[in-house]
Amino acid sequence: MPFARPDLDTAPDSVFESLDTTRDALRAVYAMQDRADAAAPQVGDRAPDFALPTLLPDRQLGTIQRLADLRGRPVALIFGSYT
Amino acid sequence: MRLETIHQRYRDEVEFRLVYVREAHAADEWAMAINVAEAIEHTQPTRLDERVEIAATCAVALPLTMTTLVDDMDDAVGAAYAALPERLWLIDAEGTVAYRGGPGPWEFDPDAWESAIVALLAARRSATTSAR
Repeated sequence: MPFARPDLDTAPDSVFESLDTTRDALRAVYAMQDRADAAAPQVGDRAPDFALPTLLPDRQLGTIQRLADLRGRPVALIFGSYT
Repeated sequence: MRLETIHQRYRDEVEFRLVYVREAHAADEWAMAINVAEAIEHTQPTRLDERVEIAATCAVALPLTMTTLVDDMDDAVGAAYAALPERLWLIDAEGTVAYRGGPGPWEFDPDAWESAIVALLAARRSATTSAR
């Protein structure tokens, strides 16, 4: 479930400490996220095409896959990292 | 793992892709104590082969079994989708954005994503039936 992002003006210091960050550092993160979000496509927009390599089971890179190659079926994208 | 459950539930009708992007909490950037406690400590890769290695570890550890794609070191795809540190999207069969999840971690919402998948598939079935 989503949760509210800490309010920079009202959240106590303990909130930022629990996130291993500071109020000012998180302010910079918010600004970066908000700028990126404002420029990202909206529902109904053409999805930005991309071409990225697949990851093979042997931990090597495989063929390049384009989003456009998947046209004809819905595509569910999960963006993320390990940490 | 909620995302993997959703993947298994709809994989016959939907293409799922994990797009591995730059580390959100690299040990040399914004390290999180919770990761340290679980011995998940990786510095931010500076070379593609380093990124590939962590991507492989990530896919196995989570675990997520869909095809993984690895973003380039310029983070261009992650940027195009405002995807840092994590985000969910759904693209319809014609290449149009059908669901735009909010930026993680605050607005990362697998339930809303699954609801969008269900709605999109229902609309596709309805359109197919109407065309007959």
